[in-house]
This record gives sequence, C-alpha cells and structure tokens, in this order.
Amino acid sequence: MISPGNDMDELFQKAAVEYPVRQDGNEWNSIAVRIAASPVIPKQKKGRRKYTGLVIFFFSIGMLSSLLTQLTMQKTAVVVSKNWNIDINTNAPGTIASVIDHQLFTRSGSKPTASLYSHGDLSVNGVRATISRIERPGYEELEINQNDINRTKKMEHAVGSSNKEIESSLKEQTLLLDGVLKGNDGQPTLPARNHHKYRGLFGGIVAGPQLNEVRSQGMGRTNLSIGILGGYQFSKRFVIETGILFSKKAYFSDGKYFHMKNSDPSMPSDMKVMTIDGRSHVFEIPVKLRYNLVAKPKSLVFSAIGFSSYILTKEKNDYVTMRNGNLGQMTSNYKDVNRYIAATFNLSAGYEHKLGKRNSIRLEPYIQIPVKGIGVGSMPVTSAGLHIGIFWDKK
Amino acid sequence: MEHITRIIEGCIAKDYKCQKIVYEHYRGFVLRIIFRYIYRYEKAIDVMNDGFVKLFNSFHDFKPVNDEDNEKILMGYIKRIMINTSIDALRKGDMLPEIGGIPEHAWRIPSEATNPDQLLLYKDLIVLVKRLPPQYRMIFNLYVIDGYSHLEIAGMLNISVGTSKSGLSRARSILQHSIKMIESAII
Repeated sequence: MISPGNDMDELFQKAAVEYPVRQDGNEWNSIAVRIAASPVIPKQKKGRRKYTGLVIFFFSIGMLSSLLTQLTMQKTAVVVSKNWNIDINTNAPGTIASVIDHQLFTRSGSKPTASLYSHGDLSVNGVRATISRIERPGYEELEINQNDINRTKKMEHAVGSSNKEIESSLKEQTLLLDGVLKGNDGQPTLPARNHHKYRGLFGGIVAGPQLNEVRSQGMGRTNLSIGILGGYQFSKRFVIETGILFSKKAYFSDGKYFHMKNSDPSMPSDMKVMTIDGRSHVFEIPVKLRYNLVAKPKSLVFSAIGFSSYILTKEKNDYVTMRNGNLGQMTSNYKDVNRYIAATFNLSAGYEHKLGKRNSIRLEPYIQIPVKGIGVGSMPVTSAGLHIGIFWDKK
Repeated sequence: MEHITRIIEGCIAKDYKCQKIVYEHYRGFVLRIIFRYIYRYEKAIDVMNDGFVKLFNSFHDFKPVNDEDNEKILMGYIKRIMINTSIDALRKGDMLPEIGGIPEHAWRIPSEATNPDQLLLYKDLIVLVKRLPPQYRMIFNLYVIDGYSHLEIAGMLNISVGTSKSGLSRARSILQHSIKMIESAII
C-alpha cells in the first residue's frame, strides 16, 4: 500500500524521470524552418510601462483632488465670543453668513476653530448647526444640533442684521455645553437623546466576498454576494431583517458527500463520483433577528441569528468519476430552478456607524451552516463572508 | 553532453548545427516533461516543437557560467520554457477536461530495459496524473514533480496560493483513490 505524502511524491518523481514515452520521429527540419522564419523580439519593458502608467494615474488623481478641493473650499469667517467659537460658511449671499463675512473677532484665551462645511452650515464649538430660511419672509432661522441630538434652537434674525446684533442674539440663546443643553442660568433643560431613534423601517444594499466549502474540505473560489436588505426596528435592542441576495457558490467535495439518487440520467448506476467541483447561482432570502448589544448615538454593535432559504437557478458540476476501474471526467449543467426552505442557519455579528441623520454604514461578518443539502447532489454547503452595506432609515 | 559551453555559444549565435544537437539530445527529456501536462501524444509533440522554437529564439537570454554547471543550468532553462509552453497550451484549450484513452503507440518500453515491470508501473502512474482535471494536473506536476512552491505556482497560473494548495490536496486525494483501486484490483 502506498501511503500518501512523501512515499507517493517520491514514486511520482521517479516515474516522471523514467516513464517510457515513445520518442521516435525527428521533426528538426520543420523546427529549423520556423526558427529561421521567426524574428527575434526583444523583451518589452512591460513592467516599467505598467508602473509608469500607475504613477501617472495616481499623480493625476492627486492633482485632480487637490484642484477640486481648491475650487470647493469656501471662505469662512470666524466669530468668537466669550463662551463659544463659531465658524460660518460665507457662500450664501444675503444670509447671516454673508453679513459676518470676513469678520474675525477674538478674545484672549479663545481660539477659533476653522471648519469647512457645505453651504449654509456652521459649527458651534464643533456642534453642527444649519442656517435655513424660515417661513416668515425676510427672516432667517438658525437651527442647532449637537452630536446628532435632534434638538432645534431657533434664532430669528432679519436678513441683513449687523454682526453685533447677531452676536448679541447668539449669546443670549441657549448654548450647548458638555453634551447637554443648558439655559442661560446654566441648568440643563433637556436630556441628550440618542440619535438612534427606535421603531422604524430601514433598508439598504449590501455586498461582500463569500467563501463556500463542503464539510471542511477546503474553501472554493471567493465569490461576491450582493443584494438588498430591509427591516423594522421595534425596540432599542431588537430588529427583524429580511431581504434578497444573489451569490455564486463554488465548492469542492469528495464524492462521498454527493448523493447519486438526485443526479442526472447520464450517470450510470455503477459509476462512482470520486470528486466534484461545483458552481451554482443562488438567490437567498434571509430572515433574521438582530439584537443590538451596544447602541450609542453614532454607532452600534449587534449580533443576529436567522435562517436563509435558497432558490437555486443554475448549477454546473465537474465530476471525476470511476467506472470499471477507469478514471474519467464529465461536466454537467443543470438549469432547473429548485427551492430550499430554511436551507441554512445563519449567525452573524456586526458594527454599524452613522454617516448622517439617516444613513449608516454596516460591516457584518457571517457564517451560514447548512441545514439541508442543495443542488443535484444535495451538497451541504457552508458559507462564510462579509457584508458591507449602506443603509437608510425612516426614523 | 560534451563541449556544452561551445554548443550553448553556438545556439546563442543561432548556429543550426548546435541547435540541432541540443534538440536531438534533449528531445526525450523535454517530451517527458510536456507529456505530463498535455494529455494527447500528438498535441504533446506539437507543444514540444513550439517549445523548442521558443527556446532557440530566446537563447540570447541564457547566460552560461562554467562547463561544470552549464548543463544543469541549461536543463533548468529548457524545463522552465517547456513548462510555460505547456501551461499556455492548456490555457488555450480553456482547461477543458480531455476525453478518451491514451493510445498504446504513445508508449515504448525499450527492448534493452532491465526493469520493464517498473517502467510499466511508472507508465501507469503517469497515466493517472494525465487523467487529473487540467488544473489539478498542472498544480500536481508543478509542485510534486517540478519542485515549484505554491507561491510560484500561484503566479504562473494566475491563481491564489490557497487555490494552489487546495488543488494539490484534491489531486493527491484523487491519485490516492486511484492507486487504492488499482492495488485492490491486483489483490
């Protein structure tokens, strides 16, 4: 009995050197003609050209980004008062911003915080605020939101108010200090509220790499899983999610995990499948329950469990077979659509980070453990991957 | 080979006589390499001829050192070119598995052979390798017989190191199965 590993390798190495292949016939003349006819092509410096191209590409991107930044950079004016610093974008003519354009007031001990924001936005000690038109013509409204606390503090100014009037008005208003709204008497007025409001619908798109294997026999080629997910958050901690995803699964297996009874008629009963290389197109419908382990104003960490059902639309298998002691190969394509309800049990954990009021980005590694076999041979396929998603909510 | 350095210099200078000497001397060596990769005998002969054309057209890249080492270096250089030519030929065929048996005229056990049974065994083993799916066959040949690392194989075949390792494992699994079947048939 030849053991796997070194014994087998050494035997094949010896066989490769000495095996008896026929060497009759001499085709030197035809080779000589071809050599005479073919020109000698000098080695092209493809590598250098490729690297030069990459350098030019990245340099161009850098120059373009710098140019765009220069073009979009907006002038800011800094107004600093006793208690807070304000940076105001000045691109809006006729607004508060344009009134105090290019004005800079400083007091000893106070440092201006220069920040660039989009048109109409400002910050107060790093707290985002927006300037918007109010319903009453001729007046402007200043809305202050601190650390995503959806709290509006409105101050009205007639358009064209002087710097001193605006500054004086801002001083009088409720200021945002230490994460808590405080009135002029310094007492907290309203508690900070988590921007992750509860109870609401959300949806998004996800995509990411996925690996598949059958019974720990090694992962197949990495493929992409992509789709849409949506759900409803019905409390601070609990969320239910579903969606539809598309993925291509590639896996390899020893033939012992391939169940012949479902195979095609071209496979005789005495044919044994030695190995199978499978590829399939799968639509997946997950249903999962998510639990928010940590829920902070701008981020949350969660874990989830659930099931996925599969709709398998296409399958292609390369078989290595044995029949009557002879090895053979065959490839079969299957185009029947098959459904597998609750085919896998899913476990995942993830991190979600707010990008704005309603948008967030999610990273979610997952594993799908097979409950049922899929495909012609009922293969128990384990999948693992990472979903990266952008979500929107209506909360 | 005698006067190897002079022959190499002749090949670099495109001397047909030197080229013919190299062709006739290394033909068997080359065919044994290529026939491990290419399933069909006739196709292997074509690939071998393509390989020799490439070899003689690129001899100017070969740097001889000294008489003692030149033959080994030359054999390594030839082997690399022939393996690359075989891989290119397999890729052009879209890596499709071949069907049909290998005709008996592809084999020849020399009448003067002292160990014909052993040669028959070696022939059977090489047939098992040739019957592997093309990708596994390439990986097995490159790693086990030609001594390339998984990193080198990944670069040559444009696959990941993981794919190379799993391909080797699968090839070994198939070959082990096949050897067991043959041994149990003999018993």
